[in-house]
Amino acid sequence: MSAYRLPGLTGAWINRSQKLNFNFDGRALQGYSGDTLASALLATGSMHVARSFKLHRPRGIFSCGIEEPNGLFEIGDDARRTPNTRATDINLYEGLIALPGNVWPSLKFDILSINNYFAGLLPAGFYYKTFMWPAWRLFEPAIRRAAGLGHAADPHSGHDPDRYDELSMHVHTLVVGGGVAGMQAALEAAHAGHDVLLVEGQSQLGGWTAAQGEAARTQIATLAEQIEKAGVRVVTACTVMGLYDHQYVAAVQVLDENGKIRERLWKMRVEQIVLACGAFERPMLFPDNDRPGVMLASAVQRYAELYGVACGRRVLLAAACDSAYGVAHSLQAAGIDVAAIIDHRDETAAQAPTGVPVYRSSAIVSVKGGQQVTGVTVISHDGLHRQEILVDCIAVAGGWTPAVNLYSMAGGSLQWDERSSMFAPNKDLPGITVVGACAGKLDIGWVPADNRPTSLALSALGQTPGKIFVDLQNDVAASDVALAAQENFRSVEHLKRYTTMGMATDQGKTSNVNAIVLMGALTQRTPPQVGTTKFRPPFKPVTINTIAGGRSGERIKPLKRMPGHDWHTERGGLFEDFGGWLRPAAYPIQGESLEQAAQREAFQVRQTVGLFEGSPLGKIEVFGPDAADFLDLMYVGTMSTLPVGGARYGILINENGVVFDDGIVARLAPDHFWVNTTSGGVERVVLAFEEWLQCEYVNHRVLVTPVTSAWGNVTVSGPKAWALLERAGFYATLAPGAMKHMTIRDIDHAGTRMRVLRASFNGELGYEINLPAQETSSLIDRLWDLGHDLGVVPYGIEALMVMRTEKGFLHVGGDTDGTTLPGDIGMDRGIAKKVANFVGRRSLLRPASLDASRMQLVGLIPVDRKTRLPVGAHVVAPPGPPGAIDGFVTSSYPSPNLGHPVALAMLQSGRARTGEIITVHHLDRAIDAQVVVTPFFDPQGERLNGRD
Amino acid sequence: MMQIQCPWCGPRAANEFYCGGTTAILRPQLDCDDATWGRYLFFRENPKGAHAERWRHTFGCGQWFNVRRNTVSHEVDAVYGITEPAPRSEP
Amino acid sequence: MVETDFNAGSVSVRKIETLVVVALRHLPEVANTLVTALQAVGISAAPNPGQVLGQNPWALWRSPSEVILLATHRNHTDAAVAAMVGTSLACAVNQTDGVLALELQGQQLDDLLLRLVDSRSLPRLPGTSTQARLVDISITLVRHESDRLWLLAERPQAEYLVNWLKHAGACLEP
Repeated sequence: MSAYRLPGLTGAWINRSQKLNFNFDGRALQGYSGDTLASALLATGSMHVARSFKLHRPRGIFSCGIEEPNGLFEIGDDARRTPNTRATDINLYEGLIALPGNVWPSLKFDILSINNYFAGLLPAGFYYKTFMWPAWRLFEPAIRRAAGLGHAADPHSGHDPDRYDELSMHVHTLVVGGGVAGMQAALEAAHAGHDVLLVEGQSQLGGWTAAQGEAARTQIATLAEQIEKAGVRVVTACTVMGLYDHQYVAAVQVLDENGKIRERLWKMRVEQIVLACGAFERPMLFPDNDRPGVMLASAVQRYAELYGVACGRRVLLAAACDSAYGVAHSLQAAGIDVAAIIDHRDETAAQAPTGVPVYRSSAIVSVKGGQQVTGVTVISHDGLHRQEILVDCIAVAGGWTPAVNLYSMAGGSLQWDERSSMFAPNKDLPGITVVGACAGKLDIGWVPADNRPTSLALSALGQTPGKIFVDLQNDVAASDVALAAQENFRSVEHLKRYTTMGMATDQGKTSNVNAIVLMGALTQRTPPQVGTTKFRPPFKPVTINTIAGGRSGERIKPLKRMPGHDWHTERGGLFEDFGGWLRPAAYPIQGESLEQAAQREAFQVRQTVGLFEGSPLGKIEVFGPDAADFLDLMYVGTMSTLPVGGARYGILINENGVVFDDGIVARLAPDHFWVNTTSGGVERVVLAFEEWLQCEYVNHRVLVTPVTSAWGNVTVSGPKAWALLERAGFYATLAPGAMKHMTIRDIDHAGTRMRVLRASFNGELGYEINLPAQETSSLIDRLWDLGHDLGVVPYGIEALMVMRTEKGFLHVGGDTDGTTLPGDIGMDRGIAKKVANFVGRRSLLRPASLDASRMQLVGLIPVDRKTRLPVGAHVVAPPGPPGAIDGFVTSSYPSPNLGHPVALAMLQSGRARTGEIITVHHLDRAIDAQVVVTPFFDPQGERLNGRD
Repeated sequence: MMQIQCPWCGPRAANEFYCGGTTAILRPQLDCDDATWGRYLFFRENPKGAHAERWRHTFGCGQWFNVRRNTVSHEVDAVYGITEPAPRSEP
Repeated sequence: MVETDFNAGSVSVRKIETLVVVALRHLPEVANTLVTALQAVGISAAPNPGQVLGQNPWALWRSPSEVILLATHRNHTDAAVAAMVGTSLACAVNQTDGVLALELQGQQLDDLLLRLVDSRSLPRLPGTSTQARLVDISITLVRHESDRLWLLAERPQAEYLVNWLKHAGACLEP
C-alpha cells in the first residue's frame, strides 16, 4: 500500500500529455510537466525517500510547500549540484537527477540508522556533554562525516555555470502572496491608482484556495484576470526572502531550468507592503509521528487536487482542527479511501463525509510500520476505547500558524489567539499591512493548543510509546523539550538553541508553535508567556550565488589598470594586485622567478637608470587662500613654510595619533598644493580632508579635488636618470645641478603640460613626471627606446620594495600598523617646534605615547649575513619563546646592492639598542640579528644627485 | 538596506554613503587631561533610540550632513545641515 | 585598453572618443564667478542638483562647490576655464584624461542599468544627471534622451565596468 497517481483528469496543475523523465536514488522514473519533484515521487509510490539528520530515521514527504522538513535531496550533479533542497519546492524538469541526502550506503540500509538505537544517548544538547574527553577535536572529524545533509558541488567540477541575475526597482505597492487575500489586496490597490507588483512563490496563483475544488479555482482564474486588467504586475515562482530597513524587500525568482538565467534577485524599495503570506499547517503530536506516510492534511488535499496524487490507499485524518473535515471531503471526492477522522476534541460543528467514522476525544498512541506507515492504534483520552486501524497515510491537522516570518523581520510583535491557538500579528506596521490567513483571519473554530495524547491513553497502550517528534528536520522530540525544561533552559531563546528546534533550514515553520506550547505545558505557562523567537531572513533557503549575482571572477572587486598598462605587458610585466591596482611586481626574463627578477632590477637601477610607472600614487589638488593653513592642520609636519616649488615628505595621523598615510606635499603656488598619498590610500585621505573641511574647519577656504586618474606618473630613477631625460629633450632647468631634490616644476614639454617632482623612494636620483594620463604610454615608451644604450631597465614593485628597504624608508601599512605613532618611526622631530595645532596632536602627549619602551622602527642585519629574516618573525626576550614579545620583523629582502639580507623591524626601545644582537624566532627557527641604524645603503644620501 | 535622504541628491540606497558616527561631539582643547581626551576618542553614548549622526554621500555628491535616526527602528526623523543644530524632536 | 565598443544585450555601448571634462570648483562666496564662467560658454545659470544645462558644453551639478562641464572639444570650455582664473576662491581642474565616457543607447537602457545601479540613483528624465554607485565604483550618469545616456567613470575602472555591462547585458531578455 502506498501513494499512487490518481486516474482520469485530476491534478489541476499538471499536464498529463507531457511526460518528464527523472532519476531518484538511481531509479529512472517518470512524472508530468507541472509536477514538483515531491508530487512526482509520491505518484510513483515512493513513501520512504529520506533519512533524518541526527537519528537517521526513515522519512517521507511531509508537506506540499516550502515548509518541507523531510524531503531534502541533492539535486543535479557536477558543478550544478545543490545539496539539501526541498523536493516540494522543485519543479520537475526533464533529466532531473536527485539523491537522498544523509544516507550511507543507501536509503534502505543506512548504517547510521544505528544512531536511532542510541537515541537515548543523543538527546538535546548531547554534544555539550559527550565527546569531550580527552579532547573534542579527536571526535570532530568523525562527527563531521556523520553529520551534514549532503555534499556541495565538487570544486574539481568547475565553476557554477549558471547565470544569476539581479534587478533593482522601486514600486508603490508590493503584495507578497498570490492567494485570494493577496489578489484582492492587489486589486484594491490598483483601483486606488497605485503601481502594484504581486509576487507569488508557487508557480501558479491561488494559494490555499487553489486546492479547494474546481469552483474555487474558477474564482481564482476570474480574480487573476481582474488583476491583470487592473494593471497589476504579477511574478510567480518568486519568493520574498527578506524584509529589511526602510521598506527594502529582497525576493528570489526561480526561472526555467533550461533558460539562460537560473535565478533572479529582486531588490525593491516599497512604499506599501501587503503581507498575504498565508499560514502553515500545524502537525499533530503523537508517538512516531515522523514515519513515512505521516503528512500535513492540507498537503494531502493539495497533492490530490493540484497534482492528481493520492498520498495513500487508505488515509486517516488526525485532527484538532475543523479544516481536517474539508480535507476528508476533498479526498473522498477524488476517489481516495478515507479510513476515519480521529478528532482530539470532543465536539465540532464540522461534518465528516458520508461513511467516514469519527473518533472524538481520541488520539493516535502508536504507529505501525518503520519505513512506511501500515496502521495505527487509537485510544480515547480516558484510556477506555481502543481502535486498531489499517492505513498507509496519516493526514495531520493540528491547527494553523500564520506565516509571520516577514512581519517579524519588520519588527512586528505577535499575539496569541486563545481560540484558534495561534500566534498572529498584533497590528499593522507603518507601511506594512497584513491580510488574510497571514493576519490570523482564519475561520477554523476552536483549536486546542496541546494536541498530545493524554497520559491515560498512553498508559492504556500497554507498551512504551515511540518518540513524539516536534521538529522533524532536526530530530527534536517532546522528550528533548522536557529535558530542556528540566535543565532550566526554559526561555524560548534557550529552548530553541538547546534543543535546536526551529534551527533547521525550515526555521521551524511546522515546529515552533508546538515546541512553545509544549514548553508552556511543562512549565505551567501559556504559549505567549513562553514567547516567540525573532525570525530572520531568508524566509526560505537561498542559493548563495543568487546573492552573489555577478560577483565572481574579475567582477568581485574593482581592479584598476594604469594608463601605461599595455607597455608593461609588452615588457613582460608580471602583474599582481597592489592596493587595488594591477601593477607589475617585476619583469622576469628568461625563466627568472619573481624574486630573481626583482633582485636583478634592484641592482640594475642603481647601476644605470630604471623606468617605473607611479600613476596609482594618489594625487590631490588642494587650492585656496587657507590651503597652507589647512595642510598644517592635517599633517604632522609643517607645510605652510614650503616655498613655491618646494616639496616635503608628510605623515598623516588620525585623531588617535596613529599613522594612516604618507606622501609628498609640493607647493605649486601660494594657494595651490599638489598632495601625493600612498597608492591605495587616496580615497581615505580625501575622505579625511573633506570631513575636516565640511564638518569642523568650515571657515577654511579650501577646495580639495582628487585627480589621480587624470594624471599619469612616469618615474625615472638611477645614476643616469638625468642623462636619459636630457636625451628625451627635457630642459636643463631640470638637471640635478639646477633643480634641487624635493622640488617641483610646472613645465611644458613638447606641447604637453607636465609637473616634474624631484623625489626618490629608492634613494637614487629620481624624477616623478606627472603628465596627462593619456600621454603616459608614449612618454614611457619614448624613454625606453632612447635609454637602451644607457642600460635602462623597467622595474616593478618588488624591486622598489627591495630598494626602499635598503634605504630604510618605511611603507605605511607594512612597517606600520594600527598602533604606530610618528615617534615610533622616527618622524617626530619638529613636532615640538611646530606651533600650529594638527590632527592627533593631543594623542601624542599621552603617557603611553611618550613611553620610551614603545616599539620603534630599526634596521636588522642577520649575524650570518645570509639568512633572510622572515617577515612577521618575532623577537622574544631571552631565553626565548614562550615569552613576552619584544618586537617583530616588518620588511625583509636580500639586498643585491649590499650582498646580504636587510630587514626593518619594530623593536621595543629600538633606537636605544643599536648594535645589540637579538634573536628572531620563526616557527622552529631562531636567527640572530644585529640592530643597526638605517639607511643600510648610501647612508649619506649622496646618490640622490646622480652622476653623469 | 536603509535608504538615506541626501539633502542634495534625494533618497539613495545606504550603500552609497559612509556613516561617520555620532555627530556634534565637542572636541576638548589641547590642554585637556588624558581622561577627557580618552573619553572624547573612545566613549560614545550608544543610545537605544534617537541618535544624531553624520553621513557622507561618498558615491554621490561627497557632502556631509546630519541625520537623526532611531537605532532600534531605523526611523529617520530629521536630516539637517552639518553645521546646523539638531531640530527639536516631535513630542 | 579593454574593448569599449560592444552590445550589452540590445543596448549599444560606444566610447566617446573625445569628451572634455572640466571640474569648476568654487567656494560659496564666489557663486557669481561660477555663473560668469558658465555664461561665457552660453549657459545662463548654475545647474541645480540633478540638472543638466546647456548643450556642448553641458553643465552638471556635482556638489555645492563643483559643477562639471562636458564638451566635445576644449573650444567649448576654454572661455569658462579662463573666467575661473584670477581668484583664489575658485579654480578649474581638467579631468579629461582621467574619464572614460561611454554612450549607451537602446530601448532596454533602464533594464540594463537597473541591474547595476539602485533604482533611486538612475536619472530618469532627459536633462537630468546623477552621481551614483555602479556595483562598487562611483559613476556619473547623464540622461540625454529616454533611450540615450552617457556613463562616465574613471579610466582605470574600464575593465571592471565593461565586464559588468556585458554581464548585465547577457541577463536581458530580448
